[in-house]
Amino acid sequence: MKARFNLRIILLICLSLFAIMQVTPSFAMTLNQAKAQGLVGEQVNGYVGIVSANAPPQVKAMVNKVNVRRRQAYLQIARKNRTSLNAVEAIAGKTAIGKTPRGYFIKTPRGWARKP
Amino acid sequence: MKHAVRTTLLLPLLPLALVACSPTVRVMAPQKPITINLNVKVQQEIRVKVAKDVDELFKEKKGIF
Repeated sequence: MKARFNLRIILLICLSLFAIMQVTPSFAMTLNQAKAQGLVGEQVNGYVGIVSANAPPQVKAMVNKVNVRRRQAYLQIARKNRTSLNAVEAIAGKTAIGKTPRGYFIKTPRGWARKP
Repeated sequence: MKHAVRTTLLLPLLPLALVACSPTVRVMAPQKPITINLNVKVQQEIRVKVAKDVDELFKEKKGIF
């Protein structure tokens, strides 16, 4: 009986924290959360883009960090395969957009649109 | 028999006439360099390798993808 009671309390606390995290902007948002909320999206050039200029500064900062780390990873792959960074970026962009779920924003040459 | 002399004189000229009538056969190297085909094949191989590395990257670095 006592064990079940404790478990429920823990579960309630966890769910509350999770709910608070979703609403409070001061908590760091993950890339997937930002994508799910339509704030950011994948681009054909292999990097994450900001859909709306009104996105919170934390989101913009997070996107910049993500893109810097992506570029480093792309450079490694380019060096390893003795090809250009552009080539790797293009392939990564195509892959990322391919993996994007329906309804999420993607940036095409025509601009931002929800993936059909 | 009458034209024996004439025939004998003209006969060596016959192959010359045939050569003049026959079509010219020219042997030329192909205009397209073969290296173009090789480049395309190499590019495709690199593309496949990069795509594989990118897939691996997406699996490993889930935080930035």
